[in-house]
Amino acid sequence: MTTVEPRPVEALLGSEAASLAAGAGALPTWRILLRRPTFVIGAVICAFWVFDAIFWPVLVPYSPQNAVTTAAHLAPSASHWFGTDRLGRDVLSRVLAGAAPVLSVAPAATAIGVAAGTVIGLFTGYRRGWTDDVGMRVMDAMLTLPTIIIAVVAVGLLGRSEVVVTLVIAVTFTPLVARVVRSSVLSERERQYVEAAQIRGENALWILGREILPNVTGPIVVESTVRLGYAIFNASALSFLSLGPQDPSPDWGLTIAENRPFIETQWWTVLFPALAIASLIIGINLVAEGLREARSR
Amino acid sequence: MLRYVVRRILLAIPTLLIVSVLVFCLAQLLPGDVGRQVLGPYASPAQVAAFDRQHGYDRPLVVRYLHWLGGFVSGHWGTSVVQQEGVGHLLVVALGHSLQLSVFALVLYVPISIGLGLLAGFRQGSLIDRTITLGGTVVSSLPDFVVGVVLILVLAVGLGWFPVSALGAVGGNVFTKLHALFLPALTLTLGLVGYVARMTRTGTITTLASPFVRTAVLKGLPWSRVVSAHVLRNSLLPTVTIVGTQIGYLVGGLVITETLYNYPGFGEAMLTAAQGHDVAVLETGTLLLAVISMAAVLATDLFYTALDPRVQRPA
Repeated sequence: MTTVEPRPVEALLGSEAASLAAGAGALPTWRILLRRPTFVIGAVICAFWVFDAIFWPVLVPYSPQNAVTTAAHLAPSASHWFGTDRLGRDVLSRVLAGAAPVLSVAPAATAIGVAAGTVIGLFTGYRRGWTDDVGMRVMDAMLTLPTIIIAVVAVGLLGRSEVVVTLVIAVTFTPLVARVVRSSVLSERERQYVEAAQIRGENALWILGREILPNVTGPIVVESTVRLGYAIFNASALSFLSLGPQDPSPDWGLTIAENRPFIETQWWTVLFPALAIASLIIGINLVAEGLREARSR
Repeated sequence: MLRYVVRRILLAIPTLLIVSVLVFCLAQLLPGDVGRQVLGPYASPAQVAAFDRQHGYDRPLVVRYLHWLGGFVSGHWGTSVVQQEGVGHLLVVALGHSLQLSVFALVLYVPISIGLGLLAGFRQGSLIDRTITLGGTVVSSLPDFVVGVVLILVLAVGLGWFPVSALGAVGGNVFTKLHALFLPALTLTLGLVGYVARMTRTGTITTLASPFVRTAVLKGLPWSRVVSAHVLRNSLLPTVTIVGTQIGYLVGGLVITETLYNYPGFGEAMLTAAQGHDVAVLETGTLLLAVISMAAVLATDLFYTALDPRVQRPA
């Protein structure tokens, strides 16, 4: 007698990562990873954007905030490779500078969400009983609403800031990570090393932190890379909805939203930031895919 | 069957109650009181107090929560103080617009993604398979506005086949509507196609490898009959669940897509409410959305049960 449980797609993809954990909890070595083209290409793309997010002040040909009104609406040319926007700011410089806001919000949100989800997942999976029931019902309630809606409501009520965006993304990630960790813990807790620790009289915190956690790092890392991709997706979507960074910021999503009304005459002001977001997300997904492939061998 | 439906609805109620408490508590975190928000910094404290009393904002939290929840259940959704309009009317009109767009998107994306998934599944390991699997995953991993911008640039600005805004779909005849809504619907489609195609592909591959398909082939059934009677019905089972659970993601995509194409739907209404601190619309809209997505999941499960008799209903 089985019932069909409602399962969101993200949870399904997450459980895929979790199912791989059974047996092989450890991470693949760098030597194995570097032989996988998917991983290497993704890592190179990500490394480029991380490098750019830190060193953009020396990379940009012009200041991203430097408005030259006489040079507004210029199409791409030798002096402005990506053209200039409606205020005469160099689009290439703004695209290069725009990596910083996304690459600070997304990793922070992922780290907080994964940490909180791991703690909840460890406890609910190990304790079972009412901790599990209550914890999972609250997680289910959070999963009924799409991230974007939660973010729209939260930013509408709490105000527009990068801190709010970071926390919202972290909060929406928590139940998803918790589910993945919980399902891994459920299979780990039946193993003999856990029983041995229990018989030795170790307390629950020690067993969770020193025995079970090291054995579920594999799925947590895979889940983190998948989450990071979604974090960038959500962070840029929220900036696009004018809920994130504000005007002079060169943030990609914001730039696209600001130049959307002029799309018919100045395609370059929207196309290049869009390609930047696309390349970053594809890079992270390739890394995640490479990790998965390496683990499933 | 009726007992099963009733049971499922009863099971959904605790989850919805948790959602309503979360939404309400979040709304109460609003800095400052509502009267001050609406009347502005120059209103006297007496005026603010009078406003709060008139609208019931001075009552205890629990009373306000019960009043709000009771109002929601009985269909009295109140008035948006910020927009001076009935919350119900505002949301229903917006939902109507979104519904038109979502139905169009569903009509596009269900056959396209199932078709691609079947094609990939039947030709597992081929170039077509790899193109569909990789391409679908990549396109669906991108935010809808990135895909939408490229679609607008190529199909609207470059080729001039479609309008750059979907505003013309409001009030137009069916043809104008379809024409103006095509790009937004295609944008939503591309955002979802990857997952559904992948699920269909996996379902097809698993089914093709199963013993009953081998038996059907060995007993001499024509291949077309094997596919139509044995493979399709089983390989599409996981897909049905996915299509249902994607309704939530469709709504998330709607917020972005409607903003990108200036279409006055539900997502746009929620966004406007968020930007204008319109708590009444935000609270009710969010809870309404939770009800809709849970109903969609329930409908999917019922459809699934009807399709697969092996899934027993608990007595």
